[in-house]
Amino acid sequence: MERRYRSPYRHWISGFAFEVVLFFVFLAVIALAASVILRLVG
Amino acid sequence: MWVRFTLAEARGIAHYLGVLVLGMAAVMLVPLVTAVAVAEWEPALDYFIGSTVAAVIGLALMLADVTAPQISHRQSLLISALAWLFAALVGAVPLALSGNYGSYLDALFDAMSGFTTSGLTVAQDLDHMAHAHNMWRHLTHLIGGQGIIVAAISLAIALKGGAFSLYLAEGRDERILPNVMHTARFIWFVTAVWVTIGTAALAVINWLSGMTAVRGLLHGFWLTIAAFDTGGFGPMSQNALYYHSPYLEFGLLVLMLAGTFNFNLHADLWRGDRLEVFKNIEARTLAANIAICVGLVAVSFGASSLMGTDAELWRKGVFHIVSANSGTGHQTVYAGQWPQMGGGAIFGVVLAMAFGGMVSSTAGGIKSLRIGLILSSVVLSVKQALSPTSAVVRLHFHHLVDRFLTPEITASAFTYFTLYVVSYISGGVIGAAYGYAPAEAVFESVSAAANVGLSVGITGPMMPTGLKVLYIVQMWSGRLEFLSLIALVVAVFLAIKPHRRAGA
Amino acid sequence: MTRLLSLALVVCILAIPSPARAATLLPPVPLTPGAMTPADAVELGLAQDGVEIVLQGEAIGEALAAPGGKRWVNLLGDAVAIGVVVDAKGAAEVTRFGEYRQRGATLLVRGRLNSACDDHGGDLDVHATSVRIIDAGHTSPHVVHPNKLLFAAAAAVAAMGLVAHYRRLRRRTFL
Repeated sequence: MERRYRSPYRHWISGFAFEVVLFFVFLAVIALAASVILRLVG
Repeated sequence: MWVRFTLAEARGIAHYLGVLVLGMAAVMLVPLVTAVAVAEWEPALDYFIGSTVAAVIGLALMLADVTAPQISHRQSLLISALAWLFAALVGAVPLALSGNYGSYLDALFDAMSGFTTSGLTVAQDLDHMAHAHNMWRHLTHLIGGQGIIVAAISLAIALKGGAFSLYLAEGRDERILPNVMHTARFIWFVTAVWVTIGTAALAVINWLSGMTAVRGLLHGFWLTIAAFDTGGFGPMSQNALYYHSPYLEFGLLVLMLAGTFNFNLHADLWRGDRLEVFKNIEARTLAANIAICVGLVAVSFGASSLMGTDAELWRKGVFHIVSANSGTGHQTVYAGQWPQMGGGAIFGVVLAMAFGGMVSSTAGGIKSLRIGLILSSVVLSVKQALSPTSAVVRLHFHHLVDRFLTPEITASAFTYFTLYVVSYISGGVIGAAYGYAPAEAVFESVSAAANVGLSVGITGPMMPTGLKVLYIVQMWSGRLEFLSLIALVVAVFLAIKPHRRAGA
Repeated sequence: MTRLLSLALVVCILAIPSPARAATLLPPVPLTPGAMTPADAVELGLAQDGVEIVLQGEAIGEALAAPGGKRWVNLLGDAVAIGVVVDAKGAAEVTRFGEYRQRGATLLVRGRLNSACDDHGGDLDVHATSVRIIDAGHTSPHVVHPNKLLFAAAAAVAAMGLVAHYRRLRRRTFL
């Protein structure tokens, strides 16, 4: 499957912001799930 | 049939190694300027010496072939392998002069640890180290993390057609952008954005904590590149624990995740393709791996009497799993505290270290892509077993594009898996032979071979010389993913073996 | 010839013994009887939780913000540093913090050693009940070794010579 070439420089700000939000959300989900497990076990 | 290297090929290799070493001489001007700016005169002299010695060695190597010839794929494999060694050898010189290292070997250890973005350290009196020396230590993460080869390409020193070969030998097997120069430039762009914003964020956190403008900025910069390049050095002996700051630790977490992301994924996300990260087998495997290891830690903390609050779970549990999985190695516990966290937690950390981050990033370990492929191949085997013998069963996965799981892909994944596991175990065996507890020896061995940098206490200035050499080799071979290093050993062996020359 | 010279130069430089660290040139602050070093404290903290200890060490870096208006002062001793939570007033009295240029003030701290402090995210720390400055700290004597200056000069000469040699060879090859 060929991908059309698009420049990653053009909208880098929105891409970067998306990444930051992605990491925040991922960490939050992991942290909350871990807390749940901690309560179940501890 | 092994094909020997000719003298002409060796000269070509020497020339480009010389170019890289000369590049090191140029980069050493940064700590030199730092030293002068803060009036650290002896360190300034150390970097003047370091830079001129690197220049001398680099030029001497370049003299091997002043025509700067085109190089073959074979030659670039060896250049790639030797680049790390030569960078470490010259990079260690100013550190050896600093007074913070017991010997040149100790300085070499830290230089290799820096360039391979490992983060294990044998520095002494780190809390009184000059800014210039800390600047150099952390810069080695930046240079090594971006790939010494990529750095050389970007500096546009002596290219011609050999550039693409060098890039492939580096181990980055994806063509992110249509040509090599553009790919290199993009990698630097992503780095520049993350490092600039990261430094600003951490500097602000530091200033709010009470650090002076200069120290806050320098520590912010150093911790940012250590986290984004998944290195793990810190400017203080307590590493990330010195700051006692949940805000800083959170910033480091975000940077570590960014640093372990495949540069292709950065490119896709920055192009606007948001779905890729959710479909990508690497990202999914890494996310699952982190989740499982954090789960193990949570269970372990639940059973432990010391670690019971949410804050402890997040700041000691999640933090270290992400630090381990990304291959960073920032640590907020003392080496002796690992057992306190419980067996499940240690197991989770070791598993996270061993499995590693994404390919085409600065992370180490087996890499989540291969773990994902191995798991997929197990699924495929089960499917095939359950299907009628005449059926053709195929499994597809998504990594930037949709692909089918072929025997070649599976074999490659298993090969690297095996190489890493052999390194992990043999390092552990040798460590145990020196008298350390087997679990500790394995922990440290995995940390070295996967370029992580978390330490259970074995690594230190008083470590036996043999272990220093062992970990240097493990860090080096892990960064190269073994194959180019094995190729180097074979080439050297063939060169030494006597044989009749069959013509040029 | 040049290659031999450069090799000789490298060998000479590698042969330089590491210069004595400045900190060891300052007379050490004697350990108050009954006090332990941070290294001892960490070792004790790994074994027992909640012990009252007397700790002595050098304040390094700076005083950092801690929850509840308090301050973190990290104390270094015997190659190990430990975080001590003190009140802002006590921290303000420390004028010198250890870094490259200076040895920091030596503090004698009485407090409770926590293996994994619940208030501070599981950090192994000490909650100080009293802080006393027993040594104000001192600037560190850093001298430039004359040997290094000599080597720097020799290396610079060698480098310049090699650059000239390289350029000459390239011109001759491509003429």
